[in-house]
Amino acid sequence: MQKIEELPNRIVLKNVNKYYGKKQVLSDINLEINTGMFGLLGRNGAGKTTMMKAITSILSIESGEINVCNISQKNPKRIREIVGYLPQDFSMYPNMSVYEAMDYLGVLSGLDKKSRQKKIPELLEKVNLQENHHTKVKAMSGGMKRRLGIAQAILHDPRVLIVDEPTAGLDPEERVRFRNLLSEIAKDRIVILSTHIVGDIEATCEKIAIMEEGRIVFDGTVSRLLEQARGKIYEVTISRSEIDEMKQNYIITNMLMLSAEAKIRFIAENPETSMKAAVEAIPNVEDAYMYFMHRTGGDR
Amino acid sequence: MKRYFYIAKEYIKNHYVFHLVAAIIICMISPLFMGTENLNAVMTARVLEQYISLIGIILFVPIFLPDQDIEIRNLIRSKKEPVIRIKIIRLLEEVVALAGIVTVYIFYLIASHCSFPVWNYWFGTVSTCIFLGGIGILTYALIDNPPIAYAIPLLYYMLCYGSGEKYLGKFYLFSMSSQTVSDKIYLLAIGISMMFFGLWMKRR
Amino acid sequence: MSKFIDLIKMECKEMLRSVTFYIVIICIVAFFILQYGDAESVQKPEKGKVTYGTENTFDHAITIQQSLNQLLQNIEANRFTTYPVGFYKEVVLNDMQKEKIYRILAKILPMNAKEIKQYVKNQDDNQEPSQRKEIKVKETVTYEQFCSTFDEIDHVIGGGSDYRHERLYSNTSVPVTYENAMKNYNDFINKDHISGAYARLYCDYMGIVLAIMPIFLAVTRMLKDKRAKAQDVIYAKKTSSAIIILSRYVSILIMLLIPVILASFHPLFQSIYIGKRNGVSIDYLAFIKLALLWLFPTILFVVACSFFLSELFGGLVSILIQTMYWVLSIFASSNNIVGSIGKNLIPRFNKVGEYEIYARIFQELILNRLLYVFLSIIFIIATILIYDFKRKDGGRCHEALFLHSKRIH
Repeated sequence: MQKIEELPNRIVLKNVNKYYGKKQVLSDINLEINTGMFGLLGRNGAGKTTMMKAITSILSIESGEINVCNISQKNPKRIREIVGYLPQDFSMYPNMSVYEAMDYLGVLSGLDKKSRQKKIPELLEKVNLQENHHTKVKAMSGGMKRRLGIAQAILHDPRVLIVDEPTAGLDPEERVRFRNLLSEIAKDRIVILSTHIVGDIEATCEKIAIMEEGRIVFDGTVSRLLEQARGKIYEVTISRSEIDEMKQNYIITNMLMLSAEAKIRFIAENPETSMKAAVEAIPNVEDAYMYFMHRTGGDR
Repeated sequence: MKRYFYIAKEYIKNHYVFHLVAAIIICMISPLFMGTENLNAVMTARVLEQYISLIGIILFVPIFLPDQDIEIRNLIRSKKEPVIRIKIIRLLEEVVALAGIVTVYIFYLIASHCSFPVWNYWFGTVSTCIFLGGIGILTYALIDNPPIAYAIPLLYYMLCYGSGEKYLGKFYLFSMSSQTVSDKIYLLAIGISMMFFGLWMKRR
Repeated sequence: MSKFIDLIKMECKEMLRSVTFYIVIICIVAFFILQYGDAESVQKPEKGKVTYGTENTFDHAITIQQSLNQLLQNIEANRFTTYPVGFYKEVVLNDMQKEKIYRILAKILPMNAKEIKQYVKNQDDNQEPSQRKEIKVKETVTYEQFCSTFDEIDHVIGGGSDYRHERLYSNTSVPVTYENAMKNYNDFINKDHISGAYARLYCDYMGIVLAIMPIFLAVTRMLKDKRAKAQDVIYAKKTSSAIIILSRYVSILIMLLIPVILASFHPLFQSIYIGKRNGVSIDYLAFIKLALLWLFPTILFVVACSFFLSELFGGLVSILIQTMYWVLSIFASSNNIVGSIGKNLIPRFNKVGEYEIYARIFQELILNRLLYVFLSIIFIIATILIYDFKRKDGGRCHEALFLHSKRIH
């Protein structure tokens, strides 16, 4: 058996399928993830959480293979040694203090007392909870809980960190802080970040995958996604009365209301002659995502 | 009126059906464990008070279970319909369920040639069930812990064995077995009071 | 091992903050104190009293005669009291069953079935039992043959009657002699050292409440992860399912020793007082010893069963099933609350003294307790397996168990 330090930093999914009853939730997933931040984008119900749970080994798969740093999903105990997981709805026992919650999860992560006593204060400082050692979990805000969540996920120094929609519900400042923290952690680890907030991806991820109805519909770099949308994103300023007609004919990615007018950003393969006033815009990740989803899955 | 019917239907369909079925099964399996034929009044009272009365706990305690999650509670509170009205609808359903089950069971005992004062025993059994259910509802309202809401009425039931009659007086659960039905009115009154007090505490 | 101990400590600490825990302790101690009250002591019998009460006897000759008399009376009235699961069940025999009983009796009586039937018919209700002409069994019939015959009769009645061989003694009634009363008293002083007798009564009452109250503590713990939304994050940790479940299990066992010890102080002080009054030194460890033997297996079983049922079906089902089991256990022993063991979860010994009965049922008690320890182990292992299964399948169990075969590939 290889030592943990000798394991390669790579996650490979091959022909992975998963069903909930008769419904197929993961369909023939093939993916390779290496060191750094990896973004997982997709609509609600696309299968992001399911795939992350499968990688974490807390959800079994019907067929296919998952290898996390050369460890097969058939060896969940070993996988859990090297994976840190922050679920979407993270919380802990309400009457525990922050320190106690970290201590408890530290024991469950296999850390001895000495390591916990050293690492817990360090990590709480890193996530800016150093003043909250004795704060009860039930008294924490959403942002504080997420920070506690990330701290517990990296307590045992995992090779892989899986965070499921970590910034949903956080204020802009918290969100930025969180992203920066994740970027720092991703220097020599695999960090898989699932989100439907495109801004998170834009700020932190070089490589992404897009999921739709249990399938990987895009797997590549952010720049390649942007490239696909080049020449398809336009901006135009129209009167408010024209907005409804605009919505019927185009997919609008952004709408900025200005007194009697509206500045619209939209997707078009070829804008019509009546849209002569439209100016080609440099696509951002959100535009590119919307364009991609429109092209592959239709508008919802 | 239609919306009350909808609220009532939702409670049964999504939350209460399990408890209803459990109470019915408990009644149905009674002949497997005890004699329910040719019983005299004392023996019949024993079956009703010491076994059937337990369904009071099962039928009444679930009243707050659908709103266990604080997010759901807050959401329901934010709506126009007063929360207390929803709870009262559920309580009425539970009372109807209890009355129905006890009535059918009493008819079963009559058909099994048991001899006992029918109306008195029906009243006594329903009162005992409402008393135990009332303890459960009040406990749940105070502590917001479903397992303990089942535990406290059970503890009261247990205390009625041994020296229960000495300490509990008019609130002794098994008075029918001692041929005293009149004390059941106290159980009924206190039971109803506990239920309404519990609902009042959880009104918001 | 140190992580296991750490987890146990954390679980115990968490429980000390739990309202549920304190409510369960209060329930246990309150029930015990209210039921136990001030238990009577065993008094030294005065010589020359008219009566020292009555008792059952295990004398074979008396048992045979009195059981036979009782049976014949019951056949004549055609009303048999049985307790198949503790609840009274009245049995009325049809003619075919009565004929069968007469044929069985003919094996041990110096009469044929027809004659026995006639004898029963001729019994006069107005006569006192002592005035009735007694039938005696054949001289060649041994006690074992008699027991075997009456077991057959019990079977015809439907089971649970006082005619099965282990209950035959309950049909007997003999006056307690001064010598027997003195023996009971001497056993209380010399063999029980006073505290032993009170320890049995203590275990009798505590056994009732410990067979049910721990359910609520166990169910609350098993539901805690889901309620706190901590399930997924705990599932994803390295620690094995066995360590997680066992740490919770052991911590509940440890914490439940608190009310067991607290409640024992009352009868202990009572024993000390009586001991001082009689100039006898008591066995101070009697309560602890008997609690470990008698009560601990009950706690082991109840908590393990709760864990298993909660993990598999959910908390409510666990509460319902175990409450029903408790109710039936209570009533299974209701017709004999001194020395009733069998396979019951709640062994009964609701009397101070009676060392002789205790000595007789001691082996049965040991076997009973071993049975429940064994069942506890089975339930805990099963809980660990189910927890581990769910841990690998997103916390679901039923779908994986029952729908797997229906999946379309």
